[in-house]
Amino acid sequence: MKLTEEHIDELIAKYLAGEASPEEAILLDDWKKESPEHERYFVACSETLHQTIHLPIDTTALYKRILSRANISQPKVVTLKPFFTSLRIAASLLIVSLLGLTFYVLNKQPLAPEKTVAARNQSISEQLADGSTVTLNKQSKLTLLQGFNSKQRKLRLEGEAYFEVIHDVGKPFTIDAGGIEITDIGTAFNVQANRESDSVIVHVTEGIVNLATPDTNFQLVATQTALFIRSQRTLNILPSFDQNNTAYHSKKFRFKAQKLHNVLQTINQVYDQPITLNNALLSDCLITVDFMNETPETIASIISETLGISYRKTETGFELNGNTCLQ
Amino acid sequence: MQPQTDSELILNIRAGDIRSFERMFNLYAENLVRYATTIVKNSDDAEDIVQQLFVTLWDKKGIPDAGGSLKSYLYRSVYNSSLNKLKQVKVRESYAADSNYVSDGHAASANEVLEHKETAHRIEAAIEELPEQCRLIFRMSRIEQLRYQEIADQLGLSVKTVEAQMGKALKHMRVRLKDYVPAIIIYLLFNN
Repeated sequence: MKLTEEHIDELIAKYLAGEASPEEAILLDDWKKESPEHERYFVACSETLHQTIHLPIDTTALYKRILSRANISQPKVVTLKPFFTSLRIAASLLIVSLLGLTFYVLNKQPLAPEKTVAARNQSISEQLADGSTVTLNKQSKLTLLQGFNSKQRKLRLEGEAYFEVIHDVGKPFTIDAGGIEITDIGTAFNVQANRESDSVIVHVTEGIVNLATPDTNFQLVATQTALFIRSQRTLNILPSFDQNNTAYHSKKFRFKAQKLHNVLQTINQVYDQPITLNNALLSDCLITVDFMNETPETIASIISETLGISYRKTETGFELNGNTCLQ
Repeated sequence: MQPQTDSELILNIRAGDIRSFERMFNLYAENLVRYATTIVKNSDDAEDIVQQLFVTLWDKKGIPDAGGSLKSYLYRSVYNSSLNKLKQVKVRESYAADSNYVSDGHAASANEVLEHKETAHRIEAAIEELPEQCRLIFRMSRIEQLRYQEIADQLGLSVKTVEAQMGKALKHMRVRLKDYVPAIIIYLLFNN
């Protein structure tokens, strides 16, 4: 949109006086975004009218308050860009044993090349060369940097993974999650670090990890969850964590008075055989239930029994049948 | 960053996707806080308004179906909440008008007092240079803090005229005070 200087002065004056309509505020904000010059012009106007409105606002604390106020319980992985399929490798990884090698041999020995493990449409579990195991959620990629398990264990994660690390003081296990480094101190933990997201979420189930950002170091202990905002380089500790978030690894779910369609959405992300509803009236039925590593069929039967409905097997999964639920 | 359209954002947020929610926050929150601040004149209240908007959006998945854009919806919501807040504040202020003014305890040094006097003088001189009607409108808006509609009513003018005169006044002040801006900011910080 092309605006004359006169229009802009009027628009800014209106905005600064608190008189701008939502449409005008949008017009001005869009105009400011068009060029740094526009932004500077706005700042000069704000300063002239002795206003501080142009000063940066720290939204980190605000976002934190929103997270704790809102009932935020279901972080999910969204689609990542396609991976380099040729880099996808099978279960076995090259193991370079350094035991008993002399320093001379060590120097001659080629380092383990960089390797990538990628999960596309289903989660996969891998045992790494050092004995640690990793469960990679769908649409996630883990890169073992060159020389993994020689003098160090360095990895780079895009997406979400659950790690159970064999601790080795001499070879720190360090994950680069984009702006934040996570180092195990004898641990099992989950990392969500999607490339297109501004945040990295780390949840520790056992032991301790060290989190290193460009500005700080923090030791996160079992049951704690940390939220790192990449653009602002801030690290926050979240009050609670929904264990359903790691169900892709643990197959453990816990639902408390949740709507059936939300419950199924969470479960269907983990299993290949989706559980569906034959009747939209069922979608708002509330259900409180725990599942511990069950098959989709067992889950369908437990839900049916709890709600007083029935289920049947379909070509791809299971369907819940009923007209209403026992409440 | 992968570009996401507003409708994709809305769908993902409805499905409970926290990353899309966060993306919406990063795209809009700062400007929304700023916009609310212009209306309620208080950044704490403005943040509360934006916080409440986002909490409600998440808890109720309360984003309206397609039709208006997400951006319009957010700005419109902030606008309505801000006007409500402003009404509440005005009611409270009319009750509190009799209570004693409490100073914030900042004791200005002799130098600061002098500088402030100088700055205030510069601002006043720039205002004096405005054409009469423009000057009057500018004073009513900036000093008496009247709404455009109130100014229009009192002077028997259209709101459009008030808008145009305020635009002219801003331009004049910006040009006249160009070299003086840092001092104005200090003046502002100690006088608010």
